[in-house]
Amino acid sequence: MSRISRSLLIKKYIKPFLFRLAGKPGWLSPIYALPGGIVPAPNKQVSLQHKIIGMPSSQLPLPSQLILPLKQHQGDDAVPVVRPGQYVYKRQLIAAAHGNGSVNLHAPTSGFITAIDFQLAAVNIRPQPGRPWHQSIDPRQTAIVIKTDGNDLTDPELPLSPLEVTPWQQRHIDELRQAVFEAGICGLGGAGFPTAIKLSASAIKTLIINGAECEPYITADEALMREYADEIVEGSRIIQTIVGAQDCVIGIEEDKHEAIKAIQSAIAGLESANHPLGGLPVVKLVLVPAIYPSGGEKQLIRIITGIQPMSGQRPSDVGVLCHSVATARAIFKAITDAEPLISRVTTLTGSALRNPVNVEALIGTPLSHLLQFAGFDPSALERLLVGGPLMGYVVDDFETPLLKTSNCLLAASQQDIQSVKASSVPHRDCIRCDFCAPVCPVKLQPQTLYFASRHQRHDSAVQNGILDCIECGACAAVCPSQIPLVAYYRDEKALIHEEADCGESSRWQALFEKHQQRQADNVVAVQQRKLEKLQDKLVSIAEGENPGKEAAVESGSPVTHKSAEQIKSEIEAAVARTRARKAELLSKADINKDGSQ
Amino acid sequence: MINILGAVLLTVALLLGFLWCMVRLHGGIAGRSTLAGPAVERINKVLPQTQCGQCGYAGCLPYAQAIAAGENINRCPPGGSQTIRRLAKLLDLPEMPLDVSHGWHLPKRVAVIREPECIGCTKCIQACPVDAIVGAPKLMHTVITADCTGCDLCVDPCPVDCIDMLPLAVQGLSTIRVVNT
Repeated sequence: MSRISRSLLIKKYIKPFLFRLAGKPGWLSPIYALPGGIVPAPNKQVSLQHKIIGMPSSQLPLPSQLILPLKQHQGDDAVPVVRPGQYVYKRQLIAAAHGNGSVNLHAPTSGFITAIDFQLAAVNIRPQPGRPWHQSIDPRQTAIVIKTDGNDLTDPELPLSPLEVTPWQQRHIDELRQAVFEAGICGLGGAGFPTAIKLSASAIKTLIINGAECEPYITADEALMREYADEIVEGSRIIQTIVGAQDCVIGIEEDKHEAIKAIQSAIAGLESANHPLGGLPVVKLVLVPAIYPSGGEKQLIRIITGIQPMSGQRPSDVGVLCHSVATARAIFKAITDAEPLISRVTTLTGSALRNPVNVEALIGTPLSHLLQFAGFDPSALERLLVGGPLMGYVVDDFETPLLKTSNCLLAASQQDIQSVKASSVPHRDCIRCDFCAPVCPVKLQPQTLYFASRHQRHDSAVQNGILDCIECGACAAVCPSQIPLVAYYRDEKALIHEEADCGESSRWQALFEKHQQRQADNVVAVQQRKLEKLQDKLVSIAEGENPGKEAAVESGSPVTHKSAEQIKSEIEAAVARTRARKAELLSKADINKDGSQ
Repeated sequence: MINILGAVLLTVALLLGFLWCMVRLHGGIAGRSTLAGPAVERINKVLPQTQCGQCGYAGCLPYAQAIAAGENINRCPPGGSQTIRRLAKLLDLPEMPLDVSHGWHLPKRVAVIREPECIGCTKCIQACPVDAIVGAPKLMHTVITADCTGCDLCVDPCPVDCIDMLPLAVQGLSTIRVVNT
């Protein structure tokens, strides 16, 4: 514990201060210390030995089928615009954004649509009780399945996008924003928030491009920055132009030396080139301490600008916008090549893989295909995680597809899991050691939240700020009892959201009860009216009138042949029947009322 | 005299206590089949209250009563796996997949009346379990979108087929396109 604290102190305060004094490049602007945080073993070098391998290539062929869930983002499902059996070209729109916060979905390669139905998909994630590290696979996800034909054909009749003809600097901002929307881009950092919505924010002062990939094992962004630094910097300028931000800052963790060099040279190249937008301030590089979780959106904003978005606030509310480097590159490709988001760079790593590597895989590739490529050794596997060891979700079904938000595939062995203490053995009791509170980057009290979550005390959990928890797992990593704290928080958050959802159903229930009551009242009222009518007739008979006359004229019934006494007794019998019926109904209604109360 | 009275009272008290314990114990052991009103209410609260009857019962409350009497918990398509999970948690039963013979779980939709085609027959008004359709005989009807549970019950009675079930239209960044299928 003390060693972690000392290294944290040095990384957070002493090193940035000394480097700034010495005038090292990248350290010139002041940075602010992140509360809490841990320094886990990075384990990043293994997957950075090779360059990013593209798909399809001779090394990494196309999978036989692609599974594309309609919801890979926050917001409503996209709506399919293709039919089963139809042939689709690469880049063709297969599901259109529909509703609130929805994004488009495109065919990553050419082939036939074989099905649009319910598929297993690693979204709508929620841990199950008793298996806190597992995600429950929700079969509700509708997905489009494409059987690839191996030709990887683009529609030959597709007209060139106007953005391909004219450089983006000469296009209107709305046109650029529309192009980003059409390309179906959502945040590639993990949360999957639709990028077009973020780009429509106004009054943005600072744009932060997030290259602080802080979670152990994940190197997708780092590899991207090494190889595509120019595209990232250009993409940052595009975003900056769209939102009209004064400053554009690329934040990178200090230990990614090669990535820093690449970004620096890209920025220098941009400055030296006689750029059409020479008037705009240039992109700036800021180094941040390599502390987990400095790559969280609000965490990075705090480190770079010193601004802390309050609980419930979005960064855009405080004039800051944060995009990951992968999103910046996707925007670059969408604007300059009119290429929709059909592939992403993802890290294949973990001790159960013989050849850990970064690949640029098509969205929808089954995980088994990627695992096989990286030399998967099933005997060493303890757990397959999508995401890193601290924030990732366990996947049981290897046919689960790669999503737009999947930045890492960690085939973890027992040893990998041990390194971050996310053990699957039953955890021990909380001893209230209070190791967790100082590492929390949001300044929450993890053990208070743990007890509130465990006993489902929703009020207490909300009061103690569980909805602000970023689920970074720093508290679980330092817990000496190895409590999977984040799993408890996720479960509790899901329950709180469920409670909130109940509002609609209780209103419907009330409406239904009113409806039933009204129907019952209606029946009673009809009987009441009949009874009154009959009684009126009875009175008129008693007064000596011939009741059957009018009726007989109208209907031609043989009422006139009956004597007055006969009619009278019939009516009395009818009155008695109706009375009995009414009494029965009333008593029934009373019983219903009692039952509902 | 007082001793005898005390002994009698004690015996009666013990007997009553024993009986009370038996009743409690019986209720506890017998489990779901003897769950009384409050249990039904709690089960009912978990159900989505769409009153659609897809489970084969006349509404959510009858299905809740049936569950309390031992019916399977996977017959509610509008609730989907979320409701099954919550029911399983509430009743301490294993989770099971949705029985799709009663219908698939679909995203929430609402009824929309194509108003020029409506002949004002009031049949849909009578079918609506939550009184979410307003109208009068021979006058146009319309749906109160905020109250519609998406139960589908108004679609069949309509003699001119002028009711569509559509996804909830929402504000924000929305581009509604015509789906050419």
